[in-house]
Amino acid sequence: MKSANAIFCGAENGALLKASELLCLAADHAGYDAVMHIERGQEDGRVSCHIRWGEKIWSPLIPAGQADMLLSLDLRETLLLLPMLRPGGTIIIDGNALAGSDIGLTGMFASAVDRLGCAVHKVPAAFCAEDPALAPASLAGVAASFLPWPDDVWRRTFDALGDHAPASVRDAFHKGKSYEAETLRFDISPRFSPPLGPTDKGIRTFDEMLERVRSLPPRRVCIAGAENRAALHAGIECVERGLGTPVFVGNRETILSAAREAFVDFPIGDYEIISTASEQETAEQAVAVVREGRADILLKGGVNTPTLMRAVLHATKGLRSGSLLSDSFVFEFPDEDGTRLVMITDGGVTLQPTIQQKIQILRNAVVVAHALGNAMPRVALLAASETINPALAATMDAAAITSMNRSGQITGCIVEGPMALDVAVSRKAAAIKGTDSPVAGQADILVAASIDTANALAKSTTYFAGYRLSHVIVGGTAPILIASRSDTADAKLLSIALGSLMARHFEEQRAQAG
Amino acid sequence: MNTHPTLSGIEATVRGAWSAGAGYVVEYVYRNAVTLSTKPPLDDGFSILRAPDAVSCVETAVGIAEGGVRALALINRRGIQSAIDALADAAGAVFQAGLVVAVIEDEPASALVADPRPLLRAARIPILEPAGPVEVLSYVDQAFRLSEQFTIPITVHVTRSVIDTCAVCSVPERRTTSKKGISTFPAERRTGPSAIADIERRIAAVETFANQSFDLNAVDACSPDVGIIAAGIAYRYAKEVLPTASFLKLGVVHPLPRKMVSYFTGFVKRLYVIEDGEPFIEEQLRAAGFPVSGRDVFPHAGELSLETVAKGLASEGAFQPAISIEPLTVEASRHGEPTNPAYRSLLSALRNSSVRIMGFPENTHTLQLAAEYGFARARGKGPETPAAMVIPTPSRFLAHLAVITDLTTADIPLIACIIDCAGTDLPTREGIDIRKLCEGIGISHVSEVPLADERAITEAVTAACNIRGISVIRLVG
Repeated sequence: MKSANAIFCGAENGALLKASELLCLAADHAGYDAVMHIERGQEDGRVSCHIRWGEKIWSPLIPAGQADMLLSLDLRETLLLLPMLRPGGTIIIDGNALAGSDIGLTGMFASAVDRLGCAVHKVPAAFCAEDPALAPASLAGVAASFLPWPDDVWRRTFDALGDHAPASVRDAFHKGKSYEAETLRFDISPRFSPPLGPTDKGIRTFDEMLERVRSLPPRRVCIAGAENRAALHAGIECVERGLGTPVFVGNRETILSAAREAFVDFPIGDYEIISTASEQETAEQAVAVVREGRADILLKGGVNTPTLMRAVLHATKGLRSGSLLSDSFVFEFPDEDGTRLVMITDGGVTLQPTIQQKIQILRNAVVVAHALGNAMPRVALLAASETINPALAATMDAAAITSMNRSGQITGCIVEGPMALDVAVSRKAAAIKGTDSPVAGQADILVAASIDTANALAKSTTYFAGYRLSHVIVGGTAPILIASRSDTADAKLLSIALGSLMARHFEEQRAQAG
Repeated sequence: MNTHPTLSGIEATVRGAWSAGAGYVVEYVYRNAVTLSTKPPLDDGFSILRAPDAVSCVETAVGIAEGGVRALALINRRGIQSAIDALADAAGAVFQAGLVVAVIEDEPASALVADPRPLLRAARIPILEPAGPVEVLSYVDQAFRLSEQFTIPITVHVTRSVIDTCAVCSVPERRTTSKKGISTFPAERRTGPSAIADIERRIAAVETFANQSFDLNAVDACSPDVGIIAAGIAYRYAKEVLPTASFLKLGVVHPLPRKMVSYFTGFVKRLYVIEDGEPFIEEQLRAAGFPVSGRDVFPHAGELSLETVAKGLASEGAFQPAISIEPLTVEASRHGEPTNPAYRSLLSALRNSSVRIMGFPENTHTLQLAAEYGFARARGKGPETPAAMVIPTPSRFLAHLAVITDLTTADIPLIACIIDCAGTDLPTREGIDIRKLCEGIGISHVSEVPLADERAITEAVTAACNIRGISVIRLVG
């Protein structure tokens, strides 16, 4: 977890603590998790304030050798704290502190700084308050001139401090801030995401999804085992619906003869066919095509699922990204507010997930939601009821994952659990049961405790309710589509469209990561 | 919610009581809560009373809570030792409103006073342990609710590291609680043995609650290889060092939520307990049969440090150290802090040599203790074991030469260990020769050892143990 670390040291007085508080509060206003810790020497009335900010700060104490900046009003204290500074760190010291120190200490300081390769800024008197009680505020101002935060952050900080920062303190701060140092760069990002509007829910129906995919450049879909008539048909549909371009993998002669027999008008010769001699080779070649970037999506055709998954999960030649693979079902659900897309996971890969696996499954589903344009999906962790019961591991897992989301360890979604299905998807049921939660009645993702529940629940949406359904395996370096033999043609088509959106999302993420 | 500027641990404690609708804070601490409570200003209907002693502090708060108004007793570690009987009586009280006891370690030296948690457990009072000011604020509020729900006082243990940490807190609006009116002395109130069964039932109910509480406890399910159980500041240190481990962060440390621990141990392979202060959680877990490693991997005296956690986990091969695990160089050692590596090396050497440590570098009291010990032994009344006193700076040694001179008459080995850091202390800078000074007052055995060299310190201590009268070991950096 990256953080920026500063230490402010000097004789203990209220002014130094206030100046440290000002920096801590400004970091909070700049959007970081910020914390400050006071270390007091017992004997000599000196104090050092550790100020840390970043996406998430755990220890309030800065580990030795990791301070980026040392702000000092006292040379002796600076010497004591030098080992806290990282190599190449910055020391900002009140010029008066140097002027008033004995020669021995000044000499020790010079040689130590030279050894550590620190940048030292001896702040001239012109930028320091003459009143010693205001010197910490001036030095905080000098520190502010090193920090990459806009003036608005400082304005809001002073507003929040109110009477605790009187005009004299503000003046001293601005005197220091006029130092105009070169801005230091910290490789950290604020914890806050831009606020999301209530309508920012992304694609709400499959028709919208198909429209969206058609507006994008066509993706290349690698079909493993294209000798199969259904698989061949899926490839042809891709072309005809404008969803993508197929790459057929399998026995060339069989593929050509199947195409000539069943799809006479389809110009199969215009598309790439990679010929293989065995089922295992088909799986390996198809995976290789995707891994090498010659196709964006892997679609299972006639090849056996275990054979394909062995190739996908191969340590070096597969499509592993270090994450667990999981199957996310997406279905159209007409709720109280109109139709929207809801996800169920994991109905296809992990039999009885551990809590760690459930977290990965959840994260995979959140990626799918993001690909569908839902920037902050609401996730319900399903159980039989909302009561936490140590005898029921599913309820304990759900509560633990919820607390991890609340403490910022699972991001990009709002998680709630344990939650029964009715409370998760029906506002009315939630109201009757008195469940007050941002997820209740509005869940976008349903994470089931086991494959049995997820699979049965997903299929019941089609077989009992007649809803349209698609699904995709995520967690690899590319979307993987493993259609069930009994999937309808519509479901297969929707899955390809979903895979296209996922491929596009991965592409954008890679571009963002540089 | 009203967002306020940063609050320290102690400010958050008072503010938490205010927002929970408490009517009174009764304090017996060093840092005055009246001044602390001015940020932001507190309103009418909330009073802070300063108690003359620890027992009065507890009994006044008990009286207020029995009278139907929420009360917070703010008391330091030393105070808990004095007031433990009053607290044990309070466990059997029947409150009209919540009673929360915040144990505040309000000075660095309080880390040297015995960990209050075993005492509180003996008094049958549940203990919550927050990890930072934001948690303090919410734990105090929850403690009042629990106190009323289970009719038992609740302790919030705020350690020194948390007290001195500041964070931006969102303080809820003050809850309005109506005074319930003082009742006649409740017939149900029982103290002594007759109350124990009732109190045990309440404690069991708190444990059942704690087993299901993910507001006070938290599980971070990450790596299945390493599981760490921690509470308070230890959680934050461990999370800094090894964020990829799985964590069970205990907010309720007594009664221990054993079912939650059992659930956690189900998905991790190696289990460690890391805690500030004494091995309180570790001993309870071992007694309950959980296979945990703790103080054997993270040895420390007094306060826990980041370096101790890092060193322990690295020694177990649990991670590649991301932070420095070497003791800070002498330049970074700070006078008088019981946490720094020099003191740890010294303490370890003294303990290994079975030397009786007569207190710790705190104040003149340390020297007085040693003096009394020496005199007592000289009169043939004291124990036979050698004793040591730790003197934080040469200037302290100089300031108490009279006491030290008296000790030269003792007929058992007495060792004065002087920490002399980096030449920053006045006597060293002015060239005062400690050895010659010692010879002048009749101390002939003076040795010098490097400050962080535990082996050299051990050898010097062993040699000093064989010398009758006082000898001096100067630990130089």
